[in-house]
Amino acid sequence: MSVDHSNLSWSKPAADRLEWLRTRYPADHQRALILPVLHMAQREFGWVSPQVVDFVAKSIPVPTIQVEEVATFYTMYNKAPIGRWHLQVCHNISCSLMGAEIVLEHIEGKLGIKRGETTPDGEFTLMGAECLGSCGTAPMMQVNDHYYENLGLSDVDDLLAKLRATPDIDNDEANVAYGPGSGPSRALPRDGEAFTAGSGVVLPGHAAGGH
Amino acid sequence: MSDQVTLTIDGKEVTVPKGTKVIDAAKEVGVEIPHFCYHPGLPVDGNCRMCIADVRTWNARAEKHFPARRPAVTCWTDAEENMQVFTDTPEVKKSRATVMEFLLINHPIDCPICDKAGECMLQDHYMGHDRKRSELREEKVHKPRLVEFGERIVYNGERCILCSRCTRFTTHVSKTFDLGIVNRGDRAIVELAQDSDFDHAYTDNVADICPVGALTKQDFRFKKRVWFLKHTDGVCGGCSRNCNTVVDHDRAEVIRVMPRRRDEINEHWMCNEGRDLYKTLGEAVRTSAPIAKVEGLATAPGWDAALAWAGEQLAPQKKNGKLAAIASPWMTNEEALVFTHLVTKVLKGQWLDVKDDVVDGYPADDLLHTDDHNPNRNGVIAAGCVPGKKDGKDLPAILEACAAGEVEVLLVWGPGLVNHYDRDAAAMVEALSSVPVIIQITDALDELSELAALVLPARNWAERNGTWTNVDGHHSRFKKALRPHGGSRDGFELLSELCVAAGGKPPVKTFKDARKKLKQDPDSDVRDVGDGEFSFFKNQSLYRHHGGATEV
Amino acid sequence: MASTESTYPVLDGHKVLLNYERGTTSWPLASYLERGGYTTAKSVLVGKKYAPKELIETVKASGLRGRGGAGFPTGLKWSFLPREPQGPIQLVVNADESEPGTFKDRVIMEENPHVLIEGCVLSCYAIGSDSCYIYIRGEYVPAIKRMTAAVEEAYAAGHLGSDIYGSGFTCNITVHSGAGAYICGEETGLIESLEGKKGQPRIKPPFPAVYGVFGYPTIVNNVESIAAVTYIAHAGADGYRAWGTEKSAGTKLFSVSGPVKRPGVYEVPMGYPFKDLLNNECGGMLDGVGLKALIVGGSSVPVVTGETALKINMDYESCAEHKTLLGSGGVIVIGEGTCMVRALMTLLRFYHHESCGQCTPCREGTGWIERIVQRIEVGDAKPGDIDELYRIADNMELRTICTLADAAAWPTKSFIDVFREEFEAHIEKGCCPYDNQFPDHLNLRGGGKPQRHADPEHAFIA
Repeated sequence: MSVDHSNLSWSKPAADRLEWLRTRYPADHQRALILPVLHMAQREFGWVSPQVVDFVAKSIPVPTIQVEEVATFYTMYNKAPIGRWHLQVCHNISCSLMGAEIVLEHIEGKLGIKRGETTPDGEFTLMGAECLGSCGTAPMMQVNDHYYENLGLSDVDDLLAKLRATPDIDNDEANVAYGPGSGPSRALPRDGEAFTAGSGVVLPGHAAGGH
Repeated sequence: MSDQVTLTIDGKEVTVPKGTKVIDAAKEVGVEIPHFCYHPGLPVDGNCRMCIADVRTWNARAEKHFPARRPAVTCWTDAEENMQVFTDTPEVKKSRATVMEFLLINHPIDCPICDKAGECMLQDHYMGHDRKRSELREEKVHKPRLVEFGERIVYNGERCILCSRCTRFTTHVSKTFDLGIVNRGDRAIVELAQDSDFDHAYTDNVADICPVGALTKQDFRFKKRVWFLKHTDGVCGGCSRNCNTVVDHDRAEVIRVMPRRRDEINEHWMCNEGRDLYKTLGEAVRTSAPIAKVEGLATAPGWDAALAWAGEQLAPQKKNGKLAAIASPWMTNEEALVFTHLVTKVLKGQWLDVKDDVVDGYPADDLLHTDDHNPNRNGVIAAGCVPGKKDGKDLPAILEACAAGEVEVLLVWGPGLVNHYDRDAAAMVEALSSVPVIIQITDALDELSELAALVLPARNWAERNGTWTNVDGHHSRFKKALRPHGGSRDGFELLSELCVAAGGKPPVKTFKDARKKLKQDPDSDVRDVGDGEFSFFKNQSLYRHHGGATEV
Repeated sequence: MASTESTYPVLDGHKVLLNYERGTTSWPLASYLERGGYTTAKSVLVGKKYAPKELIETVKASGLRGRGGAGFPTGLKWSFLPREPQGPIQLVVNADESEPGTFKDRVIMEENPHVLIEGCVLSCYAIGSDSCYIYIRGEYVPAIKRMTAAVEEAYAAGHLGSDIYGSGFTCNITVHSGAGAYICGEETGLIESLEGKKGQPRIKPPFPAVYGVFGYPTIVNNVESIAAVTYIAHAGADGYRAWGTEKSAGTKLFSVSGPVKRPGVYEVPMGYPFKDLLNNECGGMLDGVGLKALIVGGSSVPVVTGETALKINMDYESCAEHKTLLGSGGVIVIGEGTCMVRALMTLLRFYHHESCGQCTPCREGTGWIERIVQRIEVGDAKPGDIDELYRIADNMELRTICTLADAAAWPTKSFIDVFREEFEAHIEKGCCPYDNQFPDHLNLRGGGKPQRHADPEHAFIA
């Protein structure tokens, strides 16, 4: 789902959340809203474009340059549109020791793209990532909101196929910002179904739709 | 509990108010600690790490000095009672050389093409604290090299040492939030906010404070090597703020004007309009000799003949009382003193006022601009250029009197009377045409010069010494930078001679006496070039070339 | 129950933070209550078991040291709060956990979030704060969701908010997400990020206890440190000192990764021998893989050889004795066949990527040393490059605002100190003796998978 950035406005749940966020920080330090509101904006609008930066700055309000600095400093804000699935394969030390580079090369081969690129059909963006805090279940990757851990190469293949087959949800409530993540929440192929041995993490009670 | 602290720096004892930073305390005892990101006009950031020194605090319980937990940056560290600071130990020297090395590994050696060469802090501190060959054998980090920030400033990301002086300026001084540092690590660059055109009045200050050639001014790029420049104290005439300046010139031409530090007036800053003012110098139409349009006087009389004739016209007005005099807010205080004396004491004139030479300009703001776009209205008025108490006429009344034929001699200083923006020029000309004798003393010819019986060429602001008084009553002194236009006379001297020609005596003998009479301490507002952060010439290589003292 | 009494079951004789069966639904409030949850908070807030200052003294006496990596005594940090604070005191929980090899705070937040919440309430009570922010790294979406849900549960059940249990004490918690920056794990970098800026650390002094978030006095502590406060408040200083050593009291979570049979997070008493952690809890090395080296406390601590590793006890003193640091407890096991130059290159890529760019030596130095090690790894280096690398790393140390530069310099220097011959071999041979790759311990290329798949106990986040 691609959102037109030329005329941005918050959905009702997002606008409500913005007002609630204001109450969590001192009234004269509302600049603290920049990080959470940028996360919210990325959820609503897909990626952080200059228009989104402007919209976020005006929503708080803060000088635009302050939002620009934050958006470029932190890695989770995507300054360009990315694929439906953001494949972030950790390539830090523990994962590398357990074969992260092999996984990355494998995916590059399968998708025909290099690290940092997006497949032409807009499905996958592949990145190498720094330590994601999942070193004991290496090799692993983060896909949008979820971690997929203990990966063998066949697990990777299965995952890619499942991701391709997973549709987007058209549901404002489900997609509303809850926090950080790459774009709108998407039902991922593990919620409520027994995804096979590749995923170390099955979170019971983890509702479809991403909350 | 006293609010002063005493500490020793390199063995020298110094007492400073609590809250003073060590780097400033050091200056008090003549110890210059090298730095980049520190600037006395900006909040401290402490990111360049160049000002690291060996700082030891006194621990009363242990009764001894302890070194800092981590090497302390003196721009951030508050001076404390009984603190010991060492700035020239081998460790500190190594620290500086190390910081220089890190700064230089990705810095392009652009000196041959960089405007900043010769006044560059990186060059200076390299010569003073490093001088080692580069050990780098990698490709340097590349960044955008030619980024336009608005129409006046150019940014070079590779030269930038990310000291954040420019961003701190736009955040804390101009409060326009134009600049920020984006990206992380060695990908960081300064960027112009996406909603800014960088077109406000204070943009050029960022290029002044940039310690390297990362921010350069379009107006100065590739114009002149700085070691060819001569530097003269100046004062900006753009408005009644009177920002103190440095006029940089070479061979009878002003090349650029930059701010000079004056804490009670402009601190370290000036506006763009003021910087550009020197360009009008070349636009003025000037004469190199008095011009006469009257019977009995050659069209180009010499100065003696011209002054004598003028005196003959003026002297009778002592009795007739039909003299009107219009001073200019660009006159110096010294000139105003003599002008007033001439009109009110020698000629007993009552019809005396000051005009507005310039009406348009940047509107007043919270930083520097005032609403008065002329430099010295305050000083001229303070010298007495006001309508007489008994029978005085102010400027509108004078102009009416001219139109009604009541004025026999009109003495005007400077251009601008006819083409006053808020008056009908044609009506002005008509009114003034009825005045039998108009004597204009001016550095630039204008419509009035066509009407004047006698035009006496004076010197412009770059060609003479003088003082102005600003909106808050501070006096600022500017010095003669350029060789005067041939044939022009210094205003103070010329007016003194006019006093004599008109049958009187000048109020004072010398220029210095004038300032004494004006109750200005002759040396009170003098600031040498080389004082303060901004006048970095003291430490610059060009200063060395010209034999100036340096303590790098 | 008498009002100053509380319940806090300890599992397996020492498990205080992970005192439940792993792999069960341990995070909901109901489950936590079954483990005596919030009885300690009640005993303190209602039963007045401690006055705030007494609780600070108890934490001091317990010997609890910061569990994030710096190991600074927690109670001592709390006592830095000024007597006359200039503003409302804030507690900030550092859940930014980005130190490579470290994944233990995640387990607390995902499996036992309420022990952290209860720890927050008790810590806020001790330091005189009514406001707590839990700053969780942005990538930990499940942890953020679990933590947020737990906070909502706690509010709904009256364990958070105004006048808790009618005690008059107020505690508000806000879960705040980061957005991807290791430097936000530095306490002042975190504070800056919480304030909505780039996470660029501040110069200290002033310390956060005097001038912290929003300019208010602030205490920043790691998740594990605050979570441990709950047990300390329950069992007292002596209770916590039942485990550990003189200088390293209590229990610690260690997150073990690398070619071992059962990598994961394990709670053991401080001072537990590494070889026991390796062979008992982790089941030993993977078959056929020898122990070459160990990074014992997260990537920023010096590396030691396998031989040395087997002599180390997991406490601050033993690590220091063997020329390394306990750090965050991120235990990275390195197997035979691993190219140490490539390992260092991987680490330096990380520090280069994470340097905030504020100050000169780190911004320029991290990139420089990464590029040199890259050249060594591909065989494009000269003998002098090793000493050059060492010199640059040494120059970066201590001259910066924060310790990220030190964190990059220490591994650089220690890898060269301990494995210099590997660097020399790369240069002599003009190529990497390990073919520019890490060993495929899991035989991924041959269709292998991590063995933990089959092990139900470790099917979860380890």
